[in-house]
Amino acid sequence: MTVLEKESAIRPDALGIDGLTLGIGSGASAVPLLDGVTVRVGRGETVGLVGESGSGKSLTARAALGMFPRGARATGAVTVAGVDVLAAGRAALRDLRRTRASMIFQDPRAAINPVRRVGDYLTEGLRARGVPSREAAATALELLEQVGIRDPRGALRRHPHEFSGGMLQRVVIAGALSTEPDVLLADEPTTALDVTTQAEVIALLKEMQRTRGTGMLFVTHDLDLAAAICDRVYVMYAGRIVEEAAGTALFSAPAHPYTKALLEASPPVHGDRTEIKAIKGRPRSLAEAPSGCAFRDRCPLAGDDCAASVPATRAHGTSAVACVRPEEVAR
Amino acid sequence: MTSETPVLSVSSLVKRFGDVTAVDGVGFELMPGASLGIVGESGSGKTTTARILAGLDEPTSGTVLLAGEPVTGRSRRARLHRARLLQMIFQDPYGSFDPRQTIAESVAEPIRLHLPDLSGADRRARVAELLDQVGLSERAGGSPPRELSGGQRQRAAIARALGIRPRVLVLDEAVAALDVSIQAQILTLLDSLRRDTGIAYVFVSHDLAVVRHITDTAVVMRHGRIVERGDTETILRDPQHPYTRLLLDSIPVPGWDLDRVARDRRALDASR
Amino acid sequence: MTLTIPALRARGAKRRRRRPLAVTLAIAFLLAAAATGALAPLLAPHSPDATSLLDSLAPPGTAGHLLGTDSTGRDVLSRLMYGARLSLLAPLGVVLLSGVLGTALGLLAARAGGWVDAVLSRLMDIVFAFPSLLLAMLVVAVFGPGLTAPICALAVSYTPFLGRVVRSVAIQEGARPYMESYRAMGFGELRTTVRHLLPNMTPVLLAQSALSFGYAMVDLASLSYLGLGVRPPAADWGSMISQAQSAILQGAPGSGLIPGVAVLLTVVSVNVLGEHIGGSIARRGEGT
Repeated sequence: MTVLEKESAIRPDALGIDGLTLGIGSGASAVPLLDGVTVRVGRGETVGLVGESGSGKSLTARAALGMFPRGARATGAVTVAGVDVLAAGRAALRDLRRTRASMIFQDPRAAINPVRRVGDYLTEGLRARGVPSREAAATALELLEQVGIRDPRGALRRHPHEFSGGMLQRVVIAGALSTEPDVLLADEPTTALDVTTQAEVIALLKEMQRTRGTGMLFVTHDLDLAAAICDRVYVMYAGRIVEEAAGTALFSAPAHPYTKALLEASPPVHGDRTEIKAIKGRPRSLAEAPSGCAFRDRCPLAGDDCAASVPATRAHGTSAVACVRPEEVAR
Repeated sequence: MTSETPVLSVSSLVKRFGDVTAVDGVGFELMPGASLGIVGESGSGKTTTARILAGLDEPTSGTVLLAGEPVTGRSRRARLHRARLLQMIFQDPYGSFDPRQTIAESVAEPIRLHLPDLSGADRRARVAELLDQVGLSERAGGSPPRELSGGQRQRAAIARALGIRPRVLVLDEAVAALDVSIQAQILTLLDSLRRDTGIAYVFVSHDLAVVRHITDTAVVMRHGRIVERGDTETILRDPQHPYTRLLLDSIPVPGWDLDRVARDRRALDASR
Repeated sequence: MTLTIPALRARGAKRRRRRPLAVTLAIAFLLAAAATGALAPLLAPHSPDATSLLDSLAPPGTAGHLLGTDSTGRDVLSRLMYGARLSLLAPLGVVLLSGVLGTALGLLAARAGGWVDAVLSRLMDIVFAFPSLLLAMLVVAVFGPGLTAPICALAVSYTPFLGRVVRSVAIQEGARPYMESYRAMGFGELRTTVRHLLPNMTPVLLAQSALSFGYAMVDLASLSYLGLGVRPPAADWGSMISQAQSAILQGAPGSGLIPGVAVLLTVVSVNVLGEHIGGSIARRGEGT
C-alpha cells in the first residue's frame, strides 16, 4: 500500500457526491435537473465526468462548490474533504471555495478579470486566506514557474490580454492550485484550446495534480479525452449517471448502450477506418427525458421493460451501469 | 467542360492583414465530387482561406478558379457567379440565421436571389424538398431558428446552401460546435449528400478524426503555409512533417503518451 | 453548453407574458390623447379660442369649464384637447425625420466603414455637441416663427443621437454570423442591410425614438413657452404653459399645471411603451 492509499483510507474523500437530486421550482412548474447523482473523487485521483449538452455534468461539478442555479432545491449529500457543502452557510462556503475546492473554467479569458494584472489575480486568493503580501507574491512567482510561463517575474505585471489562450489557462491553473485545494474541478478546461495546446495543458494539469495529490473532477464532452487521462470515468445522460468505469475499460468494454453509441459515433483517428453510427434524436435534459430509462427513445436495445422504471445501477464486469440489459451491449 | 477540369483551383493565395501574413502561398485543386480537408489550428490561416473562397475576404494576391474561370472583384455579377458555384457553412449554427425569419423563409431566400424566375409554388416545393433532404420536418421549417437544436440548425444551414445546387461546399468547422451524437448525424448526412449530388467539399477543421472520415485528400496548414499535403489516409498513417506528427499525437487516445507529444514539440521546434 | 435548460425555456415561452400594468396605462393614455386631439371639434365643450374676460381664471371645477379657464377666459379643457394635435404631431414629426436621417446615416457609416464612417461620425459629433434648443432658436430667428422650422431644426440636432446608436448597433449586429452567411450566399450589402440588419435593430430604434419623442416634446414645449413655436392663438401645450405664467403668479396655477401634467404623462407613456415594445421584440428575436 502506498502512502497515498494509506492516507486516503483514513482521510475522507476529496469529493463525495451522494444521491444528489436537484430541481428548480415546485409543483407543476418544477423542472428537474439532476436525479440521484453519485460521484466520488479520491485524493490524488482523476475522475472524468462525461456527457453531452443537458446531461448535467457542469451542474454536478458546480454543486461541489455549493453553486446552484437560482431557486434550485438540492437533496442528497455533497462533501468536500469531509465538509458538508449542502449544510454549509455563506461563510463556510466561502471558506470552502477559498481553501478546499478550486474550479477551472472552459474559457480562461472569461474567468480572469481583464483589467487586473496576472500577479493580482494569483495573489488575491492567497491574500484572502491571510497570507502576507510579500509571501503571496513569492508563491505566485513560484507557481508561474511551475506552470511553465516564460519570464514569470515579468508575467506577474502583465494583463490577461497579453497572453495566448493556452498560456492564460496555465495562469488560471496556477491560480486554482495556489490555495492547495483538496479537489480541483475542471469544467471543460481545454475545450477552447487548440489540440496541441490541449495536450500541453493536460500534461501540466496531470503533473501538478500528481505532485500535490489533489483530487480532480474532469468535466468534458470528449469521451476519448476523459478515457485517456482519467482513472475512472462517469458517463452522464439527462441528469443521471448511466455508467461508471475505469478509464481503460470504457473503450474496451462499454457497459451502457449510450457509452457504446457515443464511441461508435465518433470517427477514429488511428487504426482502421470504420463506419460511424449516428445516434438518432438529440441529447435530452432530465426535464425532457422519457419515463424510465432516459436513453430508451434513442437506444437500439430498448424494450418495454426500459419504460417501467429508472434502471438501478448494478455491477457489470468492472463497471457499474444503469441499464437492464448490459450483457447485450457488448455484442 | 470536361470532367478533368477541377471545380475549384487555388494557386499562390496570399492574404496580408497589415504586417501579418495570414495566408502565405496556399494552392490546391478540388475535382468535382471530391472532398478536401484543410487541417490546422487557430492562426494557421485555414479560416481565412475559406473566407477568401467564399468571397468574404479579398486575397492580397493569388488566383481562385471556379470551374476553370477566375473569380475576382465584388461586382454583382461576380458575386452571384461565385455564390452560384460555391457556398459556405459556418461553425456557429446558432447565429447563422436571421432570428426573425422562419427556417423555411431563410432557406427560400438564396433561391429567390439566384433563381428569380422560379414561381412561388415551385420555390416552396424546392424548399420542402431541401428540408426533407437534410432530414428536417415541415414543422421545423415553420419554426424560427431559436426553436431548433444546434444539429437541426446546421441541417438547415446545409439545406440553405444546397438550395441553388452549388458545386462546392466550404464547411468551416461545421461540426465543431455540435454534440458528439449530433456530429455523427451531420457527418453521415454530408456523406450521403456527396454520394447523391456529386457536390465537392472543402472541409476546414482542426479535428483530424473528422477530417479523416469526411475527406479523401487533405492539406495541413501552419502559420499560413501548407506544410503537408496528400491523401488523408496516408498523411494520418505516415505523417512526414513534424507538425503533422505533433497534431496527430496530441489527439487523446487510450494509452495517450504525453511525453511523446512533448518530444514531437521539441522536434518541431528544432526543425525550424 | 451544459447549463442550458430547454424545458424551462419552452415552458416560459408557452406561458403568455402578461402585459405590465404600466404599459396598459401608457397605451390607454396615448390612445385617449390622440383620440381627443383628433375628435376635438366634436368633444370640446367650447371653441379653443373663444375669449371671455368675465370668466377669466376660473378655477377647475367651475360649472361649464371643467378644468377652469385661462387669463383671457378661454376654456382650458377645450384648449387642451385642440392642443393635443400639435403637441403630439410635432414631436412625432421630429422623431420620424430624425429617425430616417439618423438610421440612414448610422447604417451608412457602419456598413461603409473607412473614411465614410470617419467623416460621418465626426459630423454627427459636431451636431451632437450643438445644443438643440439653441439651434432651433437660431433657425426660428432666421425663418420666423411657426412649427416647420423648429421641427426641422430639432430633427437635425436629434439625428446624431440616433445615428450614433444605430452605427454602433449596426456594427455589432453586422458582425453576427448570419450577416456573413448572406454575403457568402451572394447577397449584396444593401439588400442584407435593409432586409436583415435593419429589422433586427428595431428594438433599439424604437427605444431610442421613444426617448427622442420625449425630448422633442419638451423642447418644442420650451420653444412654444419662449414664444418661438406655434403662433397664437393656435393652442399647444407648451404655449398654454407659457401663457399661464402670469396666472400662476396670480395664484391660479390650474391653467399652467394641467397642460404641464399632460406633457409629463405623454413623455412618460411614450417611454414606457417604447421600452416595452423594444424589449418584447428583443425577446422574440433571441437565440439560445
